[in-house]
Amino acid sequence: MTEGLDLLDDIGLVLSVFILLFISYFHLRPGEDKRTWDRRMGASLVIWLLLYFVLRRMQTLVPTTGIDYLTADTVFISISGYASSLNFFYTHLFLMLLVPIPFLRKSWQIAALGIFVFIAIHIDRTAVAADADPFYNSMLTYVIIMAAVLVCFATGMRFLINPPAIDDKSVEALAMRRSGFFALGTIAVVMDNMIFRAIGFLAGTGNAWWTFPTVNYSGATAGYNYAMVTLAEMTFILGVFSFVMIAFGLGSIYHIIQSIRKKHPVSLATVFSGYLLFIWALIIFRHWAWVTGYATWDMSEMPMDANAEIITALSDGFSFHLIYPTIALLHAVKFGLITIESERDQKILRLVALCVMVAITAVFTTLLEVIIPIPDLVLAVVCGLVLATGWERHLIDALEPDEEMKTVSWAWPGNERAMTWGVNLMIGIPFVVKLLLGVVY
Amino acid sequence: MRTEKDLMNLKKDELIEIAKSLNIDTSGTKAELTTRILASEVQPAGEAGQDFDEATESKIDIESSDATMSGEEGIIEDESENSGEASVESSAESSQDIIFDELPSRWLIAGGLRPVPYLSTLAVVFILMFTYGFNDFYSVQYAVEGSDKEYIDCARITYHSLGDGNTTDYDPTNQANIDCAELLGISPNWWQEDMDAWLQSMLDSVSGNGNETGFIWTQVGIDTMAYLGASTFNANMSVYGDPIAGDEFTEQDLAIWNGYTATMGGGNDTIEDLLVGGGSPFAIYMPMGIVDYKPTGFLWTQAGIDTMAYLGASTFNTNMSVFGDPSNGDVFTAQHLAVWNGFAAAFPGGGTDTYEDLLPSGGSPFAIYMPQGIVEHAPTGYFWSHPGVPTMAYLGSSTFGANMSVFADPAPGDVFTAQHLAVWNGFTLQMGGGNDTIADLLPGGASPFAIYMPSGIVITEAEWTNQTPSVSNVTVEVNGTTNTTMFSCGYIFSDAQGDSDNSTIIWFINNSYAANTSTYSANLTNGTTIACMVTPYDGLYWGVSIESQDHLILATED
Repeated sequence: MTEGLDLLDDIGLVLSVFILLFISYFHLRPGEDKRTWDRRMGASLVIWLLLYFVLRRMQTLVPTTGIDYLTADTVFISISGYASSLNFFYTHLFLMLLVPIPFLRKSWQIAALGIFVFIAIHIDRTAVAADADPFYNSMLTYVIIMAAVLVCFATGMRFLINPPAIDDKSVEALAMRRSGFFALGTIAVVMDNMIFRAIGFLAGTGNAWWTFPTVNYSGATAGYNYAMVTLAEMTFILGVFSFVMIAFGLGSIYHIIQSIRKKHPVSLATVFSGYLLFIWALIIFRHWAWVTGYATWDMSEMPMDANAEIITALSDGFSFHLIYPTIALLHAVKFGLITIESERDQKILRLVALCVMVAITAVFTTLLEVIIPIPDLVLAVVCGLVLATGWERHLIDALEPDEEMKTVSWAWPGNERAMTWGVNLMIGIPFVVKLLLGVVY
Repeated sequence: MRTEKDLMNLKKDELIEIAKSLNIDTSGTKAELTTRILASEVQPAGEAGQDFDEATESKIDIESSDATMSGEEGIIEDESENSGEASVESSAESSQDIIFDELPSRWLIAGGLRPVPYLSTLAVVFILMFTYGFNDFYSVQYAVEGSDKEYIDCARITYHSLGDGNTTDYDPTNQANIDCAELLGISPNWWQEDMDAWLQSMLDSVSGNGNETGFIWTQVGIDTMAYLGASTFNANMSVYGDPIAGDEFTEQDLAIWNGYTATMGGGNDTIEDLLVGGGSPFAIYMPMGIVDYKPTGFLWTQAGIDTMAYLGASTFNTNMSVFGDPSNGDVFTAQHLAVWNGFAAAFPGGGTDTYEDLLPSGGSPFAIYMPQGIVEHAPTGYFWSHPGVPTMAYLGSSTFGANMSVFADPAPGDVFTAQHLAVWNGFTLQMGGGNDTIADLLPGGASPFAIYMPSGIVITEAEWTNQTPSVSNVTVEVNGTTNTTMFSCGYIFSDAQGDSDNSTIIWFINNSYAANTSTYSANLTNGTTIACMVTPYDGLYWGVSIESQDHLILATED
């Protein structure tokens, strides 16, 4: 059973690499680049996100690509830790706060956020260092990122429940539409597996409150005051996850009803709503499994039995290996972050769509085989039929950007070149440092 | 007139063809194409494009295909001077970028046209959820009668700091710990008490079930008990089931013994009290004891005792008393193994070791912490012989379909254990054998397979010692010359069979390997040390290597 589930790692890695190469090619290819700053920046951020996914998977699958904590010098281990955190948090924060219509509008605001995040990382790491006194669970960086999630959520939620009329071409409507669409896509891309704690937060169960990283051991190690700090931080983090998922769940139902009543246009928001409801089904199932003991996980959320392995594969695995890279692709193409123009571009997109279809089929059949042992031959016939009926065409249609998404934009109110280089260096340098330290040590 | 449904049922290529025929934009999804076609059929083609309202148009810059952005100011510069108005009219058709130079407010992006009620509602709901979550967890984890802060801080001191023996701060007699323990209503020494209880429960749990006590009758014990029965208790050995040496000394046997001695001031002995030097009040009447540990085939080694003592002190928070303070050569009993596994079970992968896993290079997950192992094979009086190892390897591969790993890859001189004999008999059982004793495997032994092993498999311990050559009095001898000093290694070679001396010599300079010649010549500087090591060899058997004392080079030798 585990062998089948292990295949998901390989499929997910190959899919991520493939989509990464695809977006990178269109983003970096030589020639005149007519894209506006937000599309270039958006494409860069999606590439950094995919690189983060790929490196993380690589360092799990091939430990030699990661730093060896037993033999490497502690200084390098520490630098690698900082680099990894900076890479992760900068990528996610800028994806939520910088594009397409920026919340950070001055270079100093970007720099200030960067410094603030660095200080937060330092505080978090110092609090759990081996010689820390007091030793407590600090999650300040997560609090920052969840605050950004709230901003992104408000934008997406506003669009989900109250989208501007489709024929409204006013600048406000254009801004609300573009930012709303993008926010929904970004939320889907950066979702963490902690969304599966949405019910546990309200129910007060251990799958939310006593599962790392939200474990409050600070009372035992540092006393009451630090326990309160940790409790406030973890409540904020879990609360945002729960609040966002519940609100999106209700918003999705509302949007679908309004779409059926033809009061909301059927759009990417409808796809997002369907995805959210699917995720909610998984959330409910996983929470039920935890509460009833049908499946058990340890405090690090590692599966402890066969049922937990399958449910983890269905929820975490499915999201990490298939949904996130696929949505990253959708994000890049749908919002015109990369330009698909010529006949040749279309052919490449078709090839990628076919590969994504193959990956979707592979992941589904892998999961299906684990749950219900179906002969490979039957699966092959079903897959052949699915692929032969031209489903990749539907995927390509879904990827096709709206005209408005390709053309409307807002100018960066400052030195665009400096901002673009600055953000890329802020993310890129930690990534390269982490990669090099991992390979060398 | 086509309806929306008609159009949506068409393929995208067909929609593109229709759009081309209507001279409208052919890009976009099927839904967009359908909308555009329907719109073009109710208004002229030129009006079907993207029409922004007047207010919007006033805020936008429309970038033609060759428009560039100023890097310094971020202001749109349209290098194509006459493309402006024309581009507005045909923007939808030519995919031109429409770039607004004034960013919309953050309130509009996050909150829409009515941000205050919308964002306020979200904020209130979130604050309520946050408050609920915080209070829910707090009430379960931190709310106590009295001061929550004082209680939690005390819990840290007593359970995780001064009162916790696993921390470096451990100091149960510290006043702060005593005060906090009182507040918490526990003993300030709770950790040690818990550890003691745990150890006791573990020892209790590994005790025998009455039939597997881990102790056996000894012959001297049987004789002693028979004498005591006849002289004192008016009973013969039938009350114990007439045991013979090596039989299990059961809990029932112990109960009978205690029953007899209860009337004479005893009655509370454990089986350990009946060992040699045990604590029984009647020990004086049974100086050789009654029982002995049941052999397991494994003995404690001194290295094992030292290692276990270190692990106990550093890791398991205990001392060797849990193993009954064993000495080198004592039986490593089933109870010892159970205690070890009880400790190791607290660590990942531990708790399932066998005796073999505790041998040097054994399979224990903790092998890295005990490179010399904990135990050794108990002597059986027989060793693997030099011809025995290759003979068994040949028989294994040619006849039994097994390699020497089933015997744990022994070397000549290793103990031929009872387990090895069992493996051998297991192989030969299906071929008419299966009842050999170890002695049957000696050269010319009684094994039905003796014909296949004319030199035997094993050698007796005495024979091994007799055949193995030895050396003694190993010393470095100096033969000085003017320029170079030649060193030779002096020793006394002994071999019971009088075989010739084929011993090898290795030289060490300053404790580092230097040469393996019979003599060593060099002009060594003052302060250098030289030593030699002799490995006795009579052409057939290798003996135990003996190293000389270090010889220090002094100025007078130059």
